[in-house]
Amino acid sequence: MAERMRCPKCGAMMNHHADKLVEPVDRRQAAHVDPALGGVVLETHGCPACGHVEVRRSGRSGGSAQGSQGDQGDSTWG
Amino acid sequence: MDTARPLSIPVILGTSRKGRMSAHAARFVVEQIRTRPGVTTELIDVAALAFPVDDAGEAIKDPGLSDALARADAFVIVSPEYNHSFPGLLKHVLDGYLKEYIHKAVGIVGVSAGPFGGTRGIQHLLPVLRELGLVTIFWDVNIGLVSTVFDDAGRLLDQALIRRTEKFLNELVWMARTLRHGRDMIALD
Repeated sequence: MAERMRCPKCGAMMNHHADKLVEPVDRRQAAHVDPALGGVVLETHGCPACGHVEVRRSGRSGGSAQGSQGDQGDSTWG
Repeated sequence: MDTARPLSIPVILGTSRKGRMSAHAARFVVEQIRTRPGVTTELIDVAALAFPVDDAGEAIKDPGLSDALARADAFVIVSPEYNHSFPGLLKHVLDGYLKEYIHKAVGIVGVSAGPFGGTRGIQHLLPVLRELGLVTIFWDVNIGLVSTVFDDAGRLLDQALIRRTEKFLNELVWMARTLRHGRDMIALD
């Protein structure tokens, strides 16, 4: 289970509602690929109080909170 | 769930072409959303965003647009059909964001000069929206032969569009409320 986040905008506890698999857009992100899943898992947390959204790489993938360009298919580095 | 916070459903106008009739459709949808209590909206015009084309993805993210998308509970995308697909600029803009979309609802308004109401462009757009983490609804609004639906000043000529848009928005608002509840209250694990 992901560690819960506190909303940086209003301080309320956020809800972890999604894990989004994204393909890396560069070698730095590629270092965090989960080999079993074939991409980087981004935890998505929503704030019930103000609606703010935060993402961070999951603990299994490691790293700190960062978004992603998103899945660019096989042409990610193209 | 915070029921005091109104639903936010911006309308994204996905073309920058001069003389675009899709702008009439987008403004019409904005007006229809504004009649609904507890729902706010705004028009996001890709022609006004001035996105750079020397990079792609989150590297070109616009902070103001990011905030607007993050506040949203759902989106309406108004897209014309160009060469049987949706405009490349719309894809370029959509690709600049990700966290702003996840577990939010989206509905598509297809616009075409011909009779098919943008259906081919919509079919191309659907898998893109799915990969962005959006949840598509099963209602579309198809505006074919657009010059018979709006005049050049944007006045509505086909009153049936009101009924079709009402059904589309009913579904979109339901999905937006449901997904907000899920984002706020239902943990993944």
